[in-house]
Amino acid sequence: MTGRDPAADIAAQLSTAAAEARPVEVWGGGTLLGRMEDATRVHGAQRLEARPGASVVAYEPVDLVITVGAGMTVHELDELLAANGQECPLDPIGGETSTVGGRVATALSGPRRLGCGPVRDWLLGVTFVTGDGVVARGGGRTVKNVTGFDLPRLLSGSWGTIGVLVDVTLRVRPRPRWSAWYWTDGPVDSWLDRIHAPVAVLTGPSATAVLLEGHPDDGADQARCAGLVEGEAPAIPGPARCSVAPGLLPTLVAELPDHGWLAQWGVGVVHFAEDSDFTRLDPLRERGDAILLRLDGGPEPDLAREPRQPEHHRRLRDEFDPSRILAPWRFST
Amino acid sequence: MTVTSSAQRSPTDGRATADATEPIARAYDEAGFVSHVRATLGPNALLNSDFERSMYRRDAGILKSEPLGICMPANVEELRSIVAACHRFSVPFVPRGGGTGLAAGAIAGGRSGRAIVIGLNRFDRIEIDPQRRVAWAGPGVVNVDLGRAAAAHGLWFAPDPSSQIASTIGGNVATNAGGAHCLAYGVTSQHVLALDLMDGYGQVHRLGGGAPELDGLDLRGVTVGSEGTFGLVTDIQVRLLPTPPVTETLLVSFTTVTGAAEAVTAILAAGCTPAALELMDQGAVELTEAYAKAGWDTSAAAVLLAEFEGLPNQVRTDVEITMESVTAFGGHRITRATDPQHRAQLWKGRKAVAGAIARVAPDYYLQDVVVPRSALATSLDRVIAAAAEQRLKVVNVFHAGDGNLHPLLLIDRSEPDVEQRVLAAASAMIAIAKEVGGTLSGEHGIGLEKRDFMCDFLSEDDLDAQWRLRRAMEPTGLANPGKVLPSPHSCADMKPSLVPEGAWL
Repeated sequence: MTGRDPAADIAAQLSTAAAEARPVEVWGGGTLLGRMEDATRVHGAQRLEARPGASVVAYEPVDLVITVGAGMTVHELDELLAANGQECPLDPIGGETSTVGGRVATALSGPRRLGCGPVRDWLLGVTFVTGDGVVARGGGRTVKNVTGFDLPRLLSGSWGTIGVLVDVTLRVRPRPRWSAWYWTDGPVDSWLDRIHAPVAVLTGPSATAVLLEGHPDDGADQARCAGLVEGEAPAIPGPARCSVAPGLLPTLVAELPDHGWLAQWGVGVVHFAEDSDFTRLDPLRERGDAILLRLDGGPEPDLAREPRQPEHHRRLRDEFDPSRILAPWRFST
Repeated sequence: MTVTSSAQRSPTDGRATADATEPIARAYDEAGFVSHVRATLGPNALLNSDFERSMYRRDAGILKSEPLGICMPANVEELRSIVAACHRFSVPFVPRGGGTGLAAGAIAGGRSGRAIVIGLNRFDRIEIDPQRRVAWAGPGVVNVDLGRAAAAHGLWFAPDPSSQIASTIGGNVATNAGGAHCLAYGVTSQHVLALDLMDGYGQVHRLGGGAPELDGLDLRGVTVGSEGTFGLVTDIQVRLLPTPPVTETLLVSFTTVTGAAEAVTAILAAGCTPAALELMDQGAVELTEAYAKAGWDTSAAAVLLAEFEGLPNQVRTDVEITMESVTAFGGHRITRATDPQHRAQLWKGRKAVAGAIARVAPDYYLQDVVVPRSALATSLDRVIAAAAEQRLKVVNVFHAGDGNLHPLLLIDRSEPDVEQRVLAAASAMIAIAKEVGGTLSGEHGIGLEKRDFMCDFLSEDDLDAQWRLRRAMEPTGLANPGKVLPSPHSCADMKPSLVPEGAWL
């Protein structure tokens, strides 16, 4: 980054890239893209280092809202909020350098998604640059806002195909007063209705880990009723992950071996160890019901395939990236 | 209304008829449209007598504009025929549910010829899957009816706009409705898992409902809150929540409005997570107490209704902290609901506002601006002053937890120039919100009413991005045109008005 205004700088780079019809890959902390096929080599893409400032743009704790540069790491954001007894439950994924912009753009689910909701539910506003170099804002800085269409949701999970994030405004909340992990080897259906609003239910080959937050006495009471035993946080296998509609999760899990995976119950994400046999997922993947992200340095066919509603995708990309320079190999349309 | 418990609703047929995809062949042809719809769907498929059209000239706001006619299709097939006819004869259409909107989003008044209103009230089927805690609801299902159907399974639907006894789920989706409890549970968008959207060609697309990540762009997310401009939502899958084990409701009197606003700040700063924090000023309390007899303190300058839900110890801790916080800022006469009936009685004081107004004024005008929580107290004083300057009586009821102001101007339209004074006060309130970094609408929407004020809050490039999204999601431009977005490049030489061209008071 050379210019003073990060948005103008990104806009200039994108305008040039559009004029040269050169594809662009938006690069944050590199925690995900660094483990995928190298787009500069395979697609001749230019890497746009999107670290437009790692600073706080605005933060008034009592408003329960924060605006930060997209280049701030999730870790830095969390420390900053923690100093005020607050949090934004975008659990870091991929490592210490994972950026807020990257988390929003990829919208992968953190372990607490069951209780905290997806990334998009914490996103109130965005400043972004379109593929043709226009700097635009969407959403705002109040918790409630229906002033115009929900552009932040268009950017969330867009994987760099709609625009480059400059800054993001996030809803924050008081940090939970207490939290603890519990374990059980009983089937989820046998105890789940005795737990009110669990924050995470992570089911593995032999046992299930449950995260409870709030008041320790409530946690202890619930755990006793449901027969859960307090324990350590589970180790989440990696780096591969698979996304399926939550209703299909039981079918998928029934096919899996006795080691090397952990499923986010009620969410529909399964984490896999690197040496897993992914052919078991093929029937679901072929039907388009499961999406696999391997993060082993190889190609990512599922991210490149045609999405549902291809016409909507095509029209949205024609509007926001008329020259098709923003990661055109993803969501092929 | 039909309530069933089948596991999953089958996707609506997504194929378009050949007729529906025929490109626009003609200019706007009202007579051709009317005779075509009647010939294909029967003589009663389109209502257009003067009386019938006048019935649909308003929503719950102040603007009026008459549609060319009204259609009330019984099912997706009929709806598809109507939309196909709209496309063929270039007739714009306006989706409508309960008609409780306040921003003229569901009345005609489009910029390209007269529109028809399509009432979706007959799309009122509910299917609940209690195991998976989801429900499919037609857009015409009334919010409280979904709530009642869910309650039979120990579940509930969180969005609870004040209009919920009459507003529909389709309308809630169109405006991304909030309500008192969205402080803790979030607005409608967070509760919609999937929806079926009929585009301007009559084709239905299922948006959302698949894998939770890596599944392409969030088309469902951008459609919620699009105020009918992306097409017609024909079916909605929502998330239901388990009924919380414990609920505590407090009613607190304050000697100053500022004290109440500061107490709200203190409650949130102390790390409490209330389910709802509702404030009413003295005028509002006097008004509703005479009507609802909810036991609210009419001598207080402001009354705060605070609700906490969840597990017993968490709720108890939050209530204790709240008691300390409110007392520190002059809170007194704390009433704690003793049982569900008592709680319902306390809430009646808040929810009965609109009904109570009818006792003292023939009409009202309700604003919906949002200010940052930190600017709540000062903004409120200025809003009251703005009303006083126009010699208007104002009462304030608002979602204090999220800074969403709801000043209600009590009016009698027979008074001289009252409408002009209302518009002047409303414009002043919008200016106040803008000045403190707030926003134009928190939960009612932009519709026709606030469309031209978008120029004040969004830059030309911001509006351009909005138009890009609008065009991509609904290329025919026939779905509720003239709402939400001002014409491109019209901002430069426009003086915003709350009564845009094509509408009247």
